[in-house]
Amino acid sequence: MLNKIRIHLADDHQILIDGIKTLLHTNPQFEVVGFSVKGNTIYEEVIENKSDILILDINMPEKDGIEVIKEFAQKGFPCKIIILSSHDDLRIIKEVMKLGSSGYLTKKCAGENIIEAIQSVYNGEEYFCKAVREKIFRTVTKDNPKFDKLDLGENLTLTERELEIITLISLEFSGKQISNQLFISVNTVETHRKNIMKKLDAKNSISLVKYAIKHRLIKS
Amino acid sequence: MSYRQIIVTIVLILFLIFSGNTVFAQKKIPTKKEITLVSNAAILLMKEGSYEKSLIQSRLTLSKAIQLKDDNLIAGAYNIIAANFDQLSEYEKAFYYYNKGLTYANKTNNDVLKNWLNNNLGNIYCFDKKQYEKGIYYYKKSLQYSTRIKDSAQIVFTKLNLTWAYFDIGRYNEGVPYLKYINKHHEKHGDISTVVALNMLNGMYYHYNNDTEKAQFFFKNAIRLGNEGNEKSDLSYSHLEYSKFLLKNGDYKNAYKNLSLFNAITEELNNEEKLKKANVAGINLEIDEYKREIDKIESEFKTKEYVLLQEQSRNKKIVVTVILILVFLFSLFYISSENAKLKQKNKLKDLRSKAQENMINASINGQELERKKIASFLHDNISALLSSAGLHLHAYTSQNQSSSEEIIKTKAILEEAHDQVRDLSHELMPSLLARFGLFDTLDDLCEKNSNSILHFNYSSSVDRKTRYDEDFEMKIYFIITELLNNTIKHSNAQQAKLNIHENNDFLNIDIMDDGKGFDSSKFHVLEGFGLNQIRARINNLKGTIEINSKLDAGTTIKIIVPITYQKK
Repeated sequence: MLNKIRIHLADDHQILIDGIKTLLHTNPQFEVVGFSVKGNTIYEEVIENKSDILILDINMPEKDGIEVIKEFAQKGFPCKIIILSSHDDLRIIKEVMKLGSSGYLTKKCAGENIIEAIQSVYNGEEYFCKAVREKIFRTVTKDNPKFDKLDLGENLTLTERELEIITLISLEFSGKQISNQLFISVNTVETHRKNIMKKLDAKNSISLVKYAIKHRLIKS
Repeated sequence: MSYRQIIVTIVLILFLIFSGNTVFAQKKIPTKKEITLVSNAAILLMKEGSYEKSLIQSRLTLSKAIQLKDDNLIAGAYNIIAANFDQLSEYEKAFYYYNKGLTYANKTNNDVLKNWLNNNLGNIYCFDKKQYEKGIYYYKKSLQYSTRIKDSAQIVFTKLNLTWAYFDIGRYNEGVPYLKYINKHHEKHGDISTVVALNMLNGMYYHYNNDTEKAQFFFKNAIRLGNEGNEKSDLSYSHLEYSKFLLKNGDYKNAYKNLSLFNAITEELNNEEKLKKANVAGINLEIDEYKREIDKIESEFKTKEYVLLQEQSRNKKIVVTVILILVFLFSLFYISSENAKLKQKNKLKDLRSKAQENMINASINGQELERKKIASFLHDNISALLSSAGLHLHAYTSQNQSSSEEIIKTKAILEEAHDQVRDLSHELMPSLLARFGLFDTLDDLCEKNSNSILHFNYSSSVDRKTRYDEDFEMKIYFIITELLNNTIKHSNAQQAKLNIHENNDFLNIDIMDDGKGFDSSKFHVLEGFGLNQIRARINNLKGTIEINSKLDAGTTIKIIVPITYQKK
């Protein structure tokens, strides 16, 4: 472990910053290099402390999280951003993901998922906490008549995310469409697809559809 | 209140007063019937010989008749007065009043009266003034009227007078036709009072014609009848004419005898007349005195009465005026006080309703403010605290590499707390609203409210990125939420629509459903749906709401509110 992951925390609640710090410091991989309780100086601070990851709250005084991402998008991202917010509305999630953030955590799942999130994002993936991911997927498949139901409990071969991807592929979503719908990059979609093919030992997409039907991911 | 009503009342009062006055005034004028009664009494008194009393009564008649301006009655009264004076041998006075009477009678159609007056005037000219030509003129006039009214008795009477007049002035030839007429009709239409004169005139006629025997017969007849009857004057004249006849025929002894009888009767009559005159003079004096006294008293009384009446009417007018003024002032006061009261009441009502409105608005605004405060507190602070607790808990488990049952349970409780706080906060104030505005939030709301039973369809012509004033958006959002909740809870609808569009700075919101509807005229139903709350909220925004619902025909709600734009 040569380089620690440098993390900057931005939240107007000191008590939450302390909580995150405490948790992250249980893992030697992470180093909290700074924190902000206001939005307006974050950009300078993350450049200053050479953060790799910014954990950013949306509701903040003086400049809120969305404005901060906009500023980053405008000036170029000096680091990756994971949103940690009490909001769980898809519109907000969609908005911040569009603007260029790399992960979204609700405060509810902060304790559970923050480490996983930082690791994923640091490795170039998008990350959503479970509740958010499920919510996104539900919205995508909600009105689709072919969608059966996603029973994730028993499948040990594929991850939940992989099950979502294989379902959408079987529902004839293109890689680009999946990317748009799930707020993840096309690369991430492709990576997931490759992983699924490997895991299932599938030759092509038809095998994936067969698997989906067999496991009642979609209606035949 | 109406000023008009009062004016009408005043006019009515005035009318009543003035009409009342004229009624009082009319009462003072005697009626025709009254005058006739008095007049008849005067005639009766004259016939009885009570000339003085008759004169008083006839004067009374005259004054009243003059008051009434009735020519007929005036002429009648003058006739009675003159007749009284005639009887009293006051020929000048009689002549004067007969003339007056005739003047008035000529203005009327009363031929009976004209006949009498002309005849009486003729009498005065012939017997008293010895102006036979004039007398005959009046007799002839009288005759015209009595002929016209076909009063045979009067014709006979006047013709007798005419004959006598002609005979007196020696124009026997002109008198004879009348005498013949009388002789022919006297029996039928004549009168015991004229029978002496008639015999005498016949005697004179035969005397003129030198028919001694017949003259002798008629003269003796006249004297006999005269002695039997009451016509002493005629008797005396009969004696005189008989004496003339006897003298002419050389019977001096009897001529003298008759002449002396004439003298004796004439003297007797003259004495009687003198007595009468003396009496009358005395009576006249008395009457005049009395009259003057009466006149004085009367005029005094009249003056007093007049003054009194004037005073009375003045008093009455004053009282009426005062009452009117009082009534007017009172009504004015009443109206103004009522107005003031009403104004005050209205003011109070305005104030009260304004205060109420302010209170409602304040309570709505306060409510929203509180909502916002609590929501953001829950959303930010509480979730931060819960999150921090979770983080610490995770830190503990990762440091100690142990996850006991209790810690897992605690994590679950924390997550449950998170969910509840989020739900409550969202219900109080959706985080989307502040961030993405009304349209996104409403679209989201419709989506969230839709399920397999009821589908909400959202449509809007407004660009979904459009933002209004944050408070305005919040208020609209809560109004719509409330209405959609009603649809979910009460309508049993399968389809519902929310349509929003802008129209000249007004936001039009239409909510429709195909549900069972309700009777929108029933207050308690609206109350039950919390529609009054919604109304209050819309009033707060100075907007309007129109609810159309019929049982089993769905519900349509139209809301129009002026848009409050974002402050720049």
